[in-house]
Amino acid sequence: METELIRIAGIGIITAVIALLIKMHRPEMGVVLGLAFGAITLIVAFSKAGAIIGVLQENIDRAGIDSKLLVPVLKVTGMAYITQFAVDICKDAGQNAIASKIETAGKIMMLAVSVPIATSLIQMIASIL
Amino acid sequence: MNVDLIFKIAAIGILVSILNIVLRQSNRDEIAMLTTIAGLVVVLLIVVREIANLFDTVKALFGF
Repeated sequence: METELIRIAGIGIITAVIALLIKMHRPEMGVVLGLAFGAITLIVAFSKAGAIIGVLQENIDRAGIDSKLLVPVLKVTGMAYITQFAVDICKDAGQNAIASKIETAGKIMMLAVSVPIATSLIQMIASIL
Repeated sequence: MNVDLIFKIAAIGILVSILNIVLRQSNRDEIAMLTTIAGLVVVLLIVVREIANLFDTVKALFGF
């Protein structure tokens, strides 16, 4: 795990320097280079994250909480990562307007996904009171 | 961690910018523009496949 991180950090620095070099002549290539590095690094990171989610699900099942509640949580986390990925790339390309639009849309979609959890929480509280 | 992808894109970027400068010197600006667009399309094709791969990983992982 740690050696993977060291590789990612090293390659990240090299990519940043190369992107700076290319950005002088061809700005769009610099942005695409950053995008490529981002995609590769996240693929490596998420392929490692699979084990964590498995352990999480096991603990939740053992604790007796039905795993149906975990599904929206994971979905919102995934949506947050994708939104952040897109926003950073757009900001890198200098398109702040597009970045903020993606961010707003992402927040609304995440709210839409988390509505069932909110309603079940409210019903639970109402039943207790 | 396929690193060669990044260096391939960097190589294409540098090649396109050099070609661009050379073509601009011999005042063929339209061909320079065409090579820039061609280089960008090639690079975007590579990167789009990588992004699709990323989004599939996220879909599989977070249960979309």
